Amino acid sequence: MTRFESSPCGGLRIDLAGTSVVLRASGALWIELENTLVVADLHFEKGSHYAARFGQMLPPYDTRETLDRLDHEITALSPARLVFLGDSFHDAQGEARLAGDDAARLAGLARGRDLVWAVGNHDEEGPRVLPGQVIDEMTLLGLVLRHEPRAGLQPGEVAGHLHPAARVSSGRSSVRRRCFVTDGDRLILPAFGAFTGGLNVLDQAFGGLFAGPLLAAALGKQKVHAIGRRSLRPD
Amino acid sequence: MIQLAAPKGASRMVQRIGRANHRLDEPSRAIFVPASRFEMLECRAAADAILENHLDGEPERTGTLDVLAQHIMGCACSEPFDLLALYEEVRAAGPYSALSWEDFEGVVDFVSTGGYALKSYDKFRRIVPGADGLWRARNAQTVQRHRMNVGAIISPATVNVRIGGGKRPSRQGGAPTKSGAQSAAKPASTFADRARGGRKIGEAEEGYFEQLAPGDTFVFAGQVWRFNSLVGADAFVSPAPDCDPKMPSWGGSKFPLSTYLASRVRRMIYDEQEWLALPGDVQEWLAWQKLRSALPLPGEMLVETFPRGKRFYLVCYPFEGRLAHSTLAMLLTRRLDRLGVGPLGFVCNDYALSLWSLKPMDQLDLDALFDQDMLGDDLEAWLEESFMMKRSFKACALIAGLIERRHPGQEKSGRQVTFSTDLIYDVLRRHQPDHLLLRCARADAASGLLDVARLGEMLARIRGHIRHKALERVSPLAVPIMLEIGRERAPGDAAGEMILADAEGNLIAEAMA
Repeated sequence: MTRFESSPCGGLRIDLAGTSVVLRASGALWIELENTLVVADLHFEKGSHYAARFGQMLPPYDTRETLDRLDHEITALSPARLVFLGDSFHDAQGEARLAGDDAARLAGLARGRDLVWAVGNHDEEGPRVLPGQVIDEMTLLGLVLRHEPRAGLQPGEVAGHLHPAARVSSGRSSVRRRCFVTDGDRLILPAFGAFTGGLNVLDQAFGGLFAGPLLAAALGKQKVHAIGRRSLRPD
Repeated sequence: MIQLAAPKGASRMVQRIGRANHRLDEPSRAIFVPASRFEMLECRAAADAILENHLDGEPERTGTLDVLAQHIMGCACSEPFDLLALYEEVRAAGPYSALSWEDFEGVVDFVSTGGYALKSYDKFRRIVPGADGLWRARNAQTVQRHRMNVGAIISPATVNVRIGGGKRPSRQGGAPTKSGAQSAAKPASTFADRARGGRKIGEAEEGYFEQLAPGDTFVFAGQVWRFNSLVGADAFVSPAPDCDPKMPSWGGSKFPLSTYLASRVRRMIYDEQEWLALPGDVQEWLAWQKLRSALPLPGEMLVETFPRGKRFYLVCYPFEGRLAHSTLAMLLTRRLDRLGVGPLGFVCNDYALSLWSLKPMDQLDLDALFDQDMLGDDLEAWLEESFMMKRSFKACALIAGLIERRHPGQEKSGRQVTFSTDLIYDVLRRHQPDHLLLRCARADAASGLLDVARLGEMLARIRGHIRHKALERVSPLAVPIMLEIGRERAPGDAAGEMILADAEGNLIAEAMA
């Protein structure tokens, strides 16, 4: 079973393949020893993608909402490095559609810290204009950070891509929340973006990824809740 | 015509009876089958009202802006329109006669670019003015997408009812159990369930299955079934021919009883002459109520307080319908919380509502508690966070065309739409709280889901006319509402956090064991 304890910030401290990390209530991962904050699947400009592609006028505020959440984490933790774990933009033209002030805020994130953009399937080239380093994957304290989980068991892998969400049941009621999912060997992050949906952790896409018992770390309002398999339900 | 349970309105009843017969030269006949003593009163009142030809009507409605948005898009899809001519045409319709030019322009802007303060969608406009000054749809694809989504009635999401999943009675919803056999049972995955799913026997409202716990039985397509699980868009059931069914609940109870019928029922309770037309057990019930507590005057509202078990109860009888009562109960709960009474829960039906708390409520200033000012800030603050606003916003977003249920080549299920409109609601609320669709959703929620207007009239009516009885124990009139306690679940965000904390507690207990 994964070892976990609540951390004073409302997060959940777990032992991930021998490294101590904190799962934050925002959905970000905090690797304290490396002063590194990791966020996955922000899908910036998803709203404007629907307007451009389908003429569906979703509110054009998802990017600034996601940035607000990111600012909150940066203020709380002052990370020296910020890793975007892929699918940072919803599509290849997303960066060009950024509203002026949103683009400036994003560029401003690089002030005083390293930005690292791991590429994902939605943004295979990474950003063209924004500062930071574009990578496929990176290794940190024995952890491998990449966008899409590799098939089979991958001890130490930290990935996104699947947008995990948990339906948690207690008594007659249930609630659905974004979540981290881990077995203590590998970790999948929830999607951080304001307009991103979630895939139930019991879906077959998660099958074969975990050897040990599943722990879903569900995002509450102020706190991350450790949820065992028995409290999880399909949708 | 056999009318099970209460008719809710005299006109509604006349229409229902009238269309049951299908013969012009014969009168229809109806039998009322009330399911409780209160319903007996309501059935009697409805029958009397029909005999006296006192029919209650629906109030006139003001046209909503989401429907107008769909209309404007529809006009643009059929032929180019002139802005001013369309405005005059729309105002010729009664419900829109008071439509202001500003609102009309706002809706046109919404249809075109989404109506956002951040003007980033100008280059993607759905309707555009041409060189001739007339507005038209952007292109053929825009027209096609609009036509696939026309309609102003949002039908509830339905699920397929399938035979299957019976071999593994899901433990979903069951009380936590420590039995070793239970915990050893291998949880099957969702696709295994799906693969096991067999013949489709029909479709039913998703909301209906949300009320059922696995193992509950119900009647569907003329047979009794056991509910096993709800997976995606499929409800899995197995035949249960030997079981007593838990009957399906139907939409009828969603309508509040008409104000006219409610006032008749209030008079009937007070006027003992009227009792003579009622069955013996109902007369006896009212007589005991008079002895044990009180019968309120027609203009009064009765409030009873009494202890029961380790709790203290407050029961009142506004007769304003379940919607208005639920709203009142939510608002009273906020007040009681501030007064330090420790409210724990409430339950409502069409006639009464009951609240319970940790501390007694006998000494409260009831006139202050029921003061109309609760419809101000308290209502606003509560509404913004409530699931009703999200439900209302979803309907507005679908009607106004912000979200499409169908688009060429793929169909979204009702469930997915729920999820995405919630995300949109949260983001929009934070970044443009005065957006047209949020205004629309607030107005819709206030009338359709909360019955705020009716609650307001009721609070004005009972001002200074609250009759309080502090009792030692439950009164005869309170019995029906007390029996409903435990049948309702309290939805909402606070409940969500409690579920998470509960499940976490279970895991920790498991780890320590």
